Amino acid sequence: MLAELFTTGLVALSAVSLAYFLVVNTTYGGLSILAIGHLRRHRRMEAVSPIGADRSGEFLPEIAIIVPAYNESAVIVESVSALRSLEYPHTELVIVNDGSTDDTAERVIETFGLERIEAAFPIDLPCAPVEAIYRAPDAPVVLIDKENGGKADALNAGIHFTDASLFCSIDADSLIERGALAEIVEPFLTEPTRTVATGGTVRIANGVRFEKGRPVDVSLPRNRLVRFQIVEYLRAFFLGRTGLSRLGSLLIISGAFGLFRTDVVREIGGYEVDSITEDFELVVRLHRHLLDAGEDYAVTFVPHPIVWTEAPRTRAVLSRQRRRWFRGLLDTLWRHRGAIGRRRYGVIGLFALPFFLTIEGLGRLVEAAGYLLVPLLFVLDVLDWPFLLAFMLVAVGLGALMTALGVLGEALTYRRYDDPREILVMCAYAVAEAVTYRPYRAYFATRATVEYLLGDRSWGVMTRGGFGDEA
Amino acid sequence: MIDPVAAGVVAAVVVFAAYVAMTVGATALTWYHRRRTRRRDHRRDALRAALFDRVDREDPALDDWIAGLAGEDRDLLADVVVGYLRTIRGADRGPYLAAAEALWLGERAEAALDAADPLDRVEALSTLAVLAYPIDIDAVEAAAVDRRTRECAARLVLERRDEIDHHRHRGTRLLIGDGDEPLSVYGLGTLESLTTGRESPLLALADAQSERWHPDLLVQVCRVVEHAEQLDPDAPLDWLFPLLEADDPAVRAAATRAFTHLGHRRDLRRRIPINALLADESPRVRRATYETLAYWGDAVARDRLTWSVISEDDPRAQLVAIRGLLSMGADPDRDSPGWPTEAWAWIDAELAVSDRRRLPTEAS
Repeated sequence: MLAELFTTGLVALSAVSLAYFLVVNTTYGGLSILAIGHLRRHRRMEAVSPIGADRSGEFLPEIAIIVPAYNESAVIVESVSALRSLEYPHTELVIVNDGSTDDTAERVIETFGLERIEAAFPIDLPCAPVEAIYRAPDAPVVLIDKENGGKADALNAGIHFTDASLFCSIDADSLIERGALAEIVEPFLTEPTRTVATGGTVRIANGVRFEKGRPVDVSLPRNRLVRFQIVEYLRAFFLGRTGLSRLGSLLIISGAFGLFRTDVVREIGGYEVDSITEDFELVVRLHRHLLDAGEDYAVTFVPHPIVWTEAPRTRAVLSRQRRRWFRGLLDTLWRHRGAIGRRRYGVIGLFALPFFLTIEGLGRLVEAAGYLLVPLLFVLDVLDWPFLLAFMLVAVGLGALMTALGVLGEALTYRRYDDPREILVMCAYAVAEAVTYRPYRAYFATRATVEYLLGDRSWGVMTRGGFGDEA
Repeated sequence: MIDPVAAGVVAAVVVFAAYVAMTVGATALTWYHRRRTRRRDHRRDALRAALFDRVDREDPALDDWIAGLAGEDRDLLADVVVGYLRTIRGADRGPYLAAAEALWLGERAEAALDAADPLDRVEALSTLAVLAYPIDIDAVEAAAVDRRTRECAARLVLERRDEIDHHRHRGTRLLIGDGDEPLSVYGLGTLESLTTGRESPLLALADAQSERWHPDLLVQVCRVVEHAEQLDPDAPLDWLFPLLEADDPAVRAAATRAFTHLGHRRDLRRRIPINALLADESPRVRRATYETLAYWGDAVARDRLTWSVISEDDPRAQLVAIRGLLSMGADPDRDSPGWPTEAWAWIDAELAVSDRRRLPTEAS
């Protein structure tokens, strides 16, 4: 009797898993189609730039580019040099050395000729103690040298130090294209009073050749694990976020490249230092604050400006990254559980947050259960082969189809990967992803859930190899 | 009753076929676009070189040359020509205007003014703005159906101002519209250009209508007044004074800054409630007041700023006041009670490293 009940339960869970795969793939399919239509129109809009745009200089907002840096000695000079060559007239570069144990600060000070300001900053910065502030005599470059407090803490230091009306958060190990800042600021120029935050596209730098801060040869890397991440990024990060933005449901602006109104972020207390996905948590809190205040606002994803970032090349590093992301997702959803399903938060409460909870959150666990249970129950003769085939069709077939749709979206829109052979390879990876990478991701989610429930809030360590390196 | 097995097979075939179609489609599209892009880039470079060669000749014979080009080449050349017309000024534009005429760009843009898609209208207005093609101003104004097309139409009016009667009035009215929404930064730039000079129709329009305008638009209009290098000395400014007491601190701050370049007008300064602004509950308004006083720079302004430095309790506003005092070359008594020694030390130390720090002004 008990065995029967147990078996029935497992079968039911398998059925739920099947339904979940149908729902999630259909949802992403809908978002992708919506995104592709939007992107094609957006490309057209980009081609028609306003006359006299170059003469609106005095009304252009100043942007503080805040670079939190912890033990970035290997890349910091290259990164800061690239940031200084961004094509936008009014910027202030604020590097925040977050208690590095290497010579990150020294390299910046020496290379860019910074001098120490021999006085204490008279405004309390809500961060770990500041040891010193340096400024370049002839360039808008500042270094805040502080005790270690984490990325969010470092960002808060920069946000409360600058007087710029906008700030851009970037990662020291990412490379922003030279025109990207001028593009990501565009919503702040076309809708200056509504826009509070914009996010740019994150693309994978592995295998890409750069010259003077520009990608000159965008190719697939040889590393298979990175190839899986590339097709995943096209589906979920590129099309997925575009689609969500189009629905007014953008909850994630990547910490690698986001632009925010300084005063609004200060108003909500800056980044949450206890969160391990502080970028996600900030945007959710931003939405809640502005909706509570009854403000008419916009949080927008801008598909064209690109930041290139290094993807994990080994399973160990990927595992750490994805488990942190998932723990952060659970943590943020838990913090903001009061807004989930609440009508007063409009589309954010009724669609966006439930989407992240069911599709990106709990859904992954259901996915993991399906990958594990269905084959097992089939082998044990509990499930019949029509069910197995239906599951394969929905989980693998539709999954591959959605990823292939992501690749098609790339071919229809920005075409950064412009070699047809590589497009073919990516489509092949779409199938392989559905049977290998996605189950692997579901395993990360399950493990991360256990870690979260056991109280793990750690960041982990990311090992870097520099831009364009191949494993 | 549907046979589930058959349904499953059909579904599998459909999914597989869709996957193959997407794979083939994506691959073929990429191949096609790669070839097309390379071909077009090559042709564009060749056309650009040929155009430059002809431009340098005494008799460019552009009409004959362009008439002999294939359709795609004409489109590519049109992109090149419009691109140069957007950046080249003065007499150097001549040959490119002739090329635009030979390409019928004016006629094509004019025909697109009543297109259903606003993006087509934006493109048409932007093209007409850089050509010498005769303008039907009524058609231009009729094409302005939303904010983006209104801003493009206003920009066209500005660029072709020598051919349009009362261009400042027309352009300003196009931009402001019903006053129910703010402008883009590009629109602001155009509005500033239309307002700077001996005629400033924006001020008369504001005097008549600003009570009905969206608060964000009011803030932007104040910024234009602040940044305009020259204003019609006879234009009405009375509409600014009620804004100094608006409910929205952003409006109060912007209105305060609007008087930055008007400090020489005693008749206006007498009416500005400086004491009330210095005591405003919003630090934003107080910062704006400090910056305005710093710009005025006279003895009265210096005394007010000195007092504010001591009485200000918002640290950021205090820094603005101190920078303002220093920008006036003031040397106050730092031993006086309540003097913010820490803030002053910071500004001093900052200046010792770099004098690049400017008085920050807000961007709306």
